[in-house]
Amino acid sequence: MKKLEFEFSSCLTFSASVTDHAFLLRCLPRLAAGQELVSHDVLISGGKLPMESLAKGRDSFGNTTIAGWIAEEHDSLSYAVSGVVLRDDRKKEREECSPCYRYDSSMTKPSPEMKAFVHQLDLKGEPLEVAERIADAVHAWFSYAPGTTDVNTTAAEAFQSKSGVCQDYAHVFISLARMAEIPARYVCGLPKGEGATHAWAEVWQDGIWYGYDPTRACHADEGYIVLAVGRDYGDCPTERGVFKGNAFQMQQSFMQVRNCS
Amino acid sequence: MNELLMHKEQVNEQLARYGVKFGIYKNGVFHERLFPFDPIPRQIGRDDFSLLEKGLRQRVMALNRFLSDIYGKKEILRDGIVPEEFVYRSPGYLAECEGIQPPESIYSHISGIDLVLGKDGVWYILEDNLRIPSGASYPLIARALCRNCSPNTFRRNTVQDNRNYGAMLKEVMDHVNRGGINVIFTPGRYNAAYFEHSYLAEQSGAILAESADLFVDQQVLYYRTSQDPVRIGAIYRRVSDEYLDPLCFEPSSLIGIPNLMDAYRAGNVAILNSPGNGVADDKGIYYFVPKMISYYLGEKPILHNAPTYLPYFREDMEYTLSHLGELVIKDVAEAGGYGVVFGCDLSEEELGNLKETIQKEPRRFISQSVIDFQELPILEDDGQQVMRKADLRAFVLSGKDTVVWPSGLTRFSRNPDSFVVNSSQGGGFKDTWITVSQ
Amino acid sequence: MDYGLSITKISHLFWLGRYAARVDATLRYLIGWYDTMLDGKPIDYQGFCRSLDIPCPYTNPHNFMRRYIFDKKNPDSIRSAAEFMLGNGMVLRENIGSNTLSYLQMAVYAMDNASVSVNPGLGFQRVCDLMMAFTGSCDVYIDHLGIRNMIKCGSMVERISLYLSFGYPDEQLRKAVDELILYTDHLSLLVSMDLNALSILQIQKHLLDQGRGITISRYDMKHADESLFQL
Repeated sequence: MKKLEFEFSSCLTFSASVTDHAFLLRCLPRLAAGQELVSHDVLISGGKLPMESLAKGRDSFGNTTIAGWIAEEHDSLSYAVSGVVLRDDRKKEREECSPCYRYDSSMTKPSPEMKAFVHQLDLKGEPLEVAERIADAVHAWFSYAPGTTDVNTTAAEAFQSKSGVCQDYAHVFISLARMAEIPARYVCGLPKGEGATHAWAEVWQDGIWYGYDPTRACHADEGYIVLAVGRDYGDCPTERGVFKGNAFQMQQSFMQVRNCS
Repeated sequence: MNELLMHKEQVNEQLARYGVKFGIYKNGVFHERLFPFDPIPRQIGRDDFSLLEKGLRQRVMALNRFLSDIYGKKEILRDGIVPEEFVYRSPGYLAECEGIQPPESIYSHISGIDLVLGKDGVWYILEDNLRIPSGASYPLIARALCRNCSPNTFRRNTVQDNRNYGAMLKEVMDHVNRGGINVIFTPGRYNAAYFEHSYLAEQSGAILAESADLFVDQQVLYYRTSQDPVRIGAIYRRVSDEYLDPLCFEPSSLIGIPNLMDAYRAGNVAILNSPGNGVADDKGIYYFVPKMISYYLGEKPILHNAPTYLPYFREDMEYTLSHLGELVIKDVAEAGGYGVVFGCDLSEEELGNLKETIQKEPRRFISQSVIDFQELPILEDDGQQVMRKADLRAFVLSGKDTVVWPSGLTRFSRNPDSFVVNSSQGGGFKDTWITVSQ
Repeated sequence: MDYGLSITKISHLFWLGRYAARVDATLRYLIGWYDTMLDGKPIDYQGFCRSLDIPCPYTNPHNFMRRYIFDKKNPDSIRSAAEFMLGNGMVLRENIGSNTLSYLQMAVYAMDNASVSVNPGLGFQRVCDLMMAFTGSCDVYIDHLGIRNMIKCGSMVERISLYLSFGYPDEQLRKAVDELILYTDHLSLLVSMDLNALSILQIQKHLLDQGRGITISRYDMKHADESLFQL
């Protein structure tokens, strides 16, 4: 069991004023057995003003969402969440696996090369053992190279280029795991430490979702806080928005997770 | 009825006067065309239609149950009636809709069921359209105009009135409305069915709106006016699922309403038809509809599917490969008359290639026996009548009750060799009369 | 019940009114020119273009009458105005009703018929008849006061502008300004107006009512008229 203190903030700035800005955030830790949100604070501001008209909801993947709407002119959107999470993997409860995690999703469709790749691996054994082998293979295949891919890069494209960031590692891993008939899902969240948000994956065995981080070739243990899950990145980005206006946007984010004293 | 035919020109003038058109993109340029109307109606006797009604209601009720099950408990999968992968590999299945309970548990409010009448006198279901089936407006306005041009034809009152479609639509919208006004949501004037969107708005008393007129705040959908925003309780959207909400589906969509799905999930607005319905009108799922009827309703299916084979099953694959030349092959991912191939039109080499593709991707195709369906007379410009292939799209509305509109869109192929009757491929339409014998 | 309308709809209503008035008023103005040309007398089409502030690529009177009136590809033509009128009407079907809309559709067909006829004057008469039927249909069959008056505002803004361009007598101008101000008073829709422009129009209306002429240039008056609504 671990008690973790977290902070996550992000600021979008626009090069010119925008209006009619709708957004959907998944910036709060997901509510699930094994991850208890003890306390939390949320501050969201459009321009200089803190927003009051926000709507908390839950999407079809069980993630907590915050929807907002700013009609007036503004040139930034920032959100900051902080709080305390109690992580305890022993408290995870058995659940059914939604079949959608067993099938290709739009960003994880395997290429013929990936099909060949996974069938070279030893796929015998318990799902968790096999998943670990796949994750190690993915880790070995890739070299970590920020800037070579972007948020829209598919698993097949990343696999081809043999380089990418955590999102690409997770996508390729998920795609290969599903080919090996292991249900797998994408996770976006905050691991212990500081810097940027991270992505990893979970695989399902006997009713329990187990976290695995192919970028670091390790288990996503109690030091990992889950924000959102989905079939792939497209289902669970921390922030998605549309607005009216002719503006570029720049994003600056920061996160920190440490043991609670 | 012969009198009506004498007034063909006048009816056409009236259709032009009221702008009864559909749009088509040719080489990337938008054109509007008058939808060719043939004045000879398709006539269905009241008794025959009663049987159709029963069968259609049964089918649509089962399809609604199926949708509720798929996005809910998934019992039909657990019981092995429908193989799981037919659902989860269907492009119409939307994981983003998992667990959403639409108002009154209705998924398909307006269903367009396509049928043909075989030479054996039996009606066969060709396909179910549960997403945004269009076409009701054409026979609706044509009837009003024909009555005007040829009152004597209708004086004896043996044709059941069909002009209540707008009222039926309003009743369905009111039934699922979550508080607020009814809106028809159109992608805009340059959509193929824009005439229909605007005409149905007028007929049902709903407001026609585009995405710029709509927004979601605090999980409530509003119509933006120059005064206070007006709350919307039901939205009959004529925008397809993938473009409906850029924050949930295709992010680049400019014609959607951001966070509409959030408002829908919160139960604050009814969306007609529900997003995700495509999983039930998938050409692959079609095969299983008769099984659904037995499974959910414990009844024998009243209407027949066309004999269909799923190469996914081994026996069906063998049958398909050995009879390819006499079957029609459909790509399950395509719609609107596209992706349909008649084996008899293919060369030996093409047949070989198709066999290979089917074996490689069995889930992608279904094959069907070609139904020898009855042809209907069409009045040519020179006054001669010729026979052409025609189908019938029946409209089934699900609100408080599930009811069949006593009419329908009869589409015919203008090309004597073609079986394809879609308006986007040059076909025309007829009114459909339900006749009451005296 | 008078429901609120979106800005998009209000803008379409306003422009429907403007284009419908443009088709009607310009055709009526030009019908006489066919007769003038019959006797080989000149028509001042260059002056016409100047007064409307539109380019004048026309090479002779016949070319002008052909291309300014009928050319679908000429954005300044009356035929194009008719197309824009129908385009704005089409997206208002449930607000103005299929019957009212059908007059616009018929007017466009009538324009096309006139363009291939040997006596376009008769064809124009048909177009103008249909425009009157449209106006009458708006008056009688549109229950929503805001919808009706928004179309009328557009129509009057356009008429005032054209009357000023064509140098119509003060009395006609006075009636049009009178009507415009009356409709703005009874709009029943919340639409923002340029108050400066409105007060200029009110002052000039007052002067016209007293039988005096307008005290600002026709250009400034036209500017005030056209900037009243920012739609």
